[in-house]
Amino acid sequence: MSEVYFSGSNSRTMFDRETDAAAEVFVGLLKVFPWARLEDYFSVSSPVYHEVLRDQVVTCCLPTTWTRRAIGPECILGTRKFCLEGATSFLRLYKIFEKAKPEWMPQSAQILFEGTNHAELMRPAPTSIDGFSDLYFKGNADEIEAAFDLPQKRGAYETFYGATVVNGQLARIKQYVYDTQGGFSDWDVVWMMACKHQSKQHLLGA
Amino acid sequence: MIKPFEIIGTRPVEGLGTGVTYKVWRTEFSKPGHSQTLECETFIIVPDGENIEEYLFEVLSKSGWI
Repeated sequence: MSEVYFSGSNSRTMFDRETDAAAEVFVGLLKVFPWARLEDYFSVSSPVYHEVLRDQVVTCCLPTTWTRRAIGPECILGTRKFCLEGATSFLRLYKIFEKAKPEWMPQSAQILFEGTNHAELMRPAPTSIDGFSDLYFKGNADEIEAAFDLPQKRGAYETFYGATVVNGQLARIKQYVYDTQGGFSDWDVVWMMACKHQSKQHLLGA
Repeated sequence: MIKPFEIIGTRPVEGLGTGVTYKVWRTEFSKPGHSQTLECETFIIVPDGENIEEYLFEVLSKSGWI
């Protein structure tokens, strides 16, 4: 298990692709998406109800080399999201956040990445993907939990947050909990490295 | 719209259709912690009347590239 997030009563676990859990999820995925291939991804998530898409969604992480080839070097990570009931899919692409912080964000919050949704050629996508995006941030846990009325959920190693924004309005907050260091646990380090690699050192002092 | 290939160029091929030069790539995790990226540049003739991107997608899907 490499990552867990909580959103209200929903939770999602990310599994490394070599695990039995990932293989089990993929068996179910293939029933709806026979074209999917486990060897294309390095991680597979448990299905989780997505409050905005209103569907059960499995997230599969694409290799960085594929994403950067398909999109460009500014893309830090790409995932393919499979919506099981609607039999649709789309790409979620993560880039360094460079816009103004929304007013509803707590003072300590530092937004690191923005995730946007993109349809793929010849793959039916949900009709609502253009209407929302996600902001991934870190900050003082006490302040963030109070600001968004969140339960106290904190990882022994790290805690990060994701805000889903629908047409400019906050729709939900996800709490990403890491009890140990792993492939997904160091958002801040990835952000710092990406800023340097993309010649965005001006963001490091913000 | 994200496409799993890149069309480099096209030219008419008399009597057959449109010649399309394109690049396609895929990355696989052959074993834990090891990935390999394959990319090739190649050529195909898309018959007259066919949508180039859709035709290319179908060919590449059937061949296992995407």
